[in-house]
Amino acid sequence: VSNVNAMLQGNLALAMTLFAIGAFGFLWKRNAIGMLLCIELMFNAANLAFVTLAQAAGRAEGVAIFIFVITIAAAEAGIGLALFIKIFTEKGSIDVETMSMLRD
Amino acid sequence: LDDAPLTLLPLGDLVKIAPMLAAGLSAIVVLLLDLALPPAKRGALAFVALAGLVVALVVLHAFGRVSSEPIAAFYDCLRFDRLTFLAHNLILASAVFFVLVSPRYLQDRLLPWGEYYALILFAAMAMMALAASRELVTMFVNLELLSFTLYVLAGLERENLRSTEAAFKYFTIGSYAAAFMLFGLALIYGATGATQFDVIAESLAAGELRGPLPSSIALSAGLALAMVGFGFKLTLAPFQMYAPDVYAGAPTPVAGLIATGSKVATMAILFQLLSVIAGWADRPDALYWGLYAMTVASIVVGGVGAIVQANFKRLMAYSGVSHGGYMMLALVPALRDPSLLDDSRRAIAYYLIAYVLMTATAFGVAASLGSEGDGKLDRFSGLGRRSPLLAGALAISLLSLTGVPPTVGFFGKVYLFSIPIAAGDYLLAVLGVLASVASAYYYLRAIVRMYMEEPHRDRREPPRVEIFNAFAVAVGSAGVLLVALWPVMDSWVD
Repeated sequence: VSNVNAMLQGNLALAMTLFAIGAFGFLWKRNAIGMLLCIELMFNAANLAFVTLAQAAGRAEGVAIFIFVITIAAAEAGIGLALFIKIFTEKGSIDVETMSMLRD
Repeated sequence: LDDAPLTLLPLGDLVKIAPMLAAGLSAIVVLLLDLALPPAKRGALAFVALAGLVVALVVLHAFGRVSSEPIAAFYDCLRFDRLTFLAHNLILASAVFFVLVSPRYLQDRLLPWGEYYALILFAAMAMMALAASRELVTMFVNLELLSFTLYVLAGLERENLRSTEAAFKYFTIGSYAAAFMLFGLALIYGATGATQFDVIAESLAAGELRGPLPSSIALSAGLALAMVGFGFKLTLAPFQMYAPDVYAGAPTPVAGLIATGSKVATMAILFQLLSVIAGWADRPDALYWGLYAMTVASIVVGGVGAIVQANFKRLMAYSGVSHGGYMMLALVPALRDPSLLDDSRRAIAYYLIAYVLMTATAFGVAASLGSEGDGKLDRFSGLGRRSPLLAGALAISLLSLTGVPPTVGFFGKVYLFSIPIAAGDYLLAVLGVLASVASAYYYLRAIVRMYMEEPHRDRREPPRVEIFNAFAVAVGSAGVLLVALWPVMDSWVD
């Protein structure tokens, strides 16, 4: 039991750290690709938490959830990158500072 | 679950999700026809989309009629009860409405027909599935499916950088909020050891957390993080910042769908989740006060933000923020006093009907004006003389958003505000009433522009209004005026 607990605590601490890095990184980054990477990091932090918790509970759902989330994250990256390419061809930059047309 | 026979896909359950299948399959038909038809004839796709939605509505009423017992499907991951049934009707109705008012706008802005209608149908499917979800992961997958269709729809106007920028903001902030929600769901799973709403409710009612991380702090933190995702979708303060930009940049019918159908689906699922939480015996008070603060902040921020807006769609975005707050105002007191949950559900159901009718009509008028309805409020100057139908419909829906009797918005607000009064929280009710009175300033300002100002020099001619637009807008505004008098409403919201 103590092994499971140590695994649980260690992995959850890691997941929370990754999540925090992603959450603050998103606010810090000015480049759209960097922001997308931070979001992916947050998704994967949640994945790590799901898998760890499923392992500790001795159940399978958490692992199944991980597959769903990976799929969603891939679809998300697809939409995001398409948008970024469109913006880059129009503006020559994917810096968020250039996104200020809608402030009227 | 251990002794249940292992079937991967319970085929019998496909009948229960027939309305969603109808919407999804017609989306695929639209995409295939889009390839087959020559560009000049692609306008006919509107009829295909319309037919698909009507079939979905018919199927919904044929199979989905819920008498008293909810129907469960797919191992209880989806469930169809009265509120879900109402939400499905409203979602399909708003999709039909925006399909009807779109063609003129699509022509003006050169939007791709096939992709547009297919995505609207996929969005309708996702909204229905979201409203019916009763399991955390099902809920998250459907929420993301809905978000993806809306991100693409918001940026569909590829020649317009404003639309692209709206999609960019919607996408980045939406995904950020979704990541918070996902981590929150992981914590909820860790605390309760379950993902089914029912199982979670049962263990909370028994007062024990059965997961590997059985701490009420983990569960509360999980719920708080999940609220980030819900707050984003419902544009509740402080997660509303993106809304004015996205509504202003997205194509008008798409903004309308984001403001109506997507909010109905999210409100329906949030009600289910919070009624699970209401049964949590030793729930920390911080959760209640957190939601309370969100409610008050939404009403205040929505009201104050709307005052300074000069753009119609930005005004509607802030209006949506405060109306989201009004609905939370009927839900939050029930968290403390679960005996109010049934009344709260009825009040919210009633208001969802009212909100969809008046908001869809307002966006429908703007969409009917094509490019002209997409911009500053002064474009509506003198509309009363140029197009009495559009001006009248917009005036009715704005009066209803203010809450002037005898429109449906008035009765809806009476229902909503009665919940905090029943809970003894007079302050919340007074705030709602004051905010409604103050909202008259910015809603009536638009009406004054339409009826008391001269039209702009370049816009004296009556606008070209298509027959479908006229029909949809007339039906919407008639609904706003008359639906409150219709006795069927009681059985609908119950």
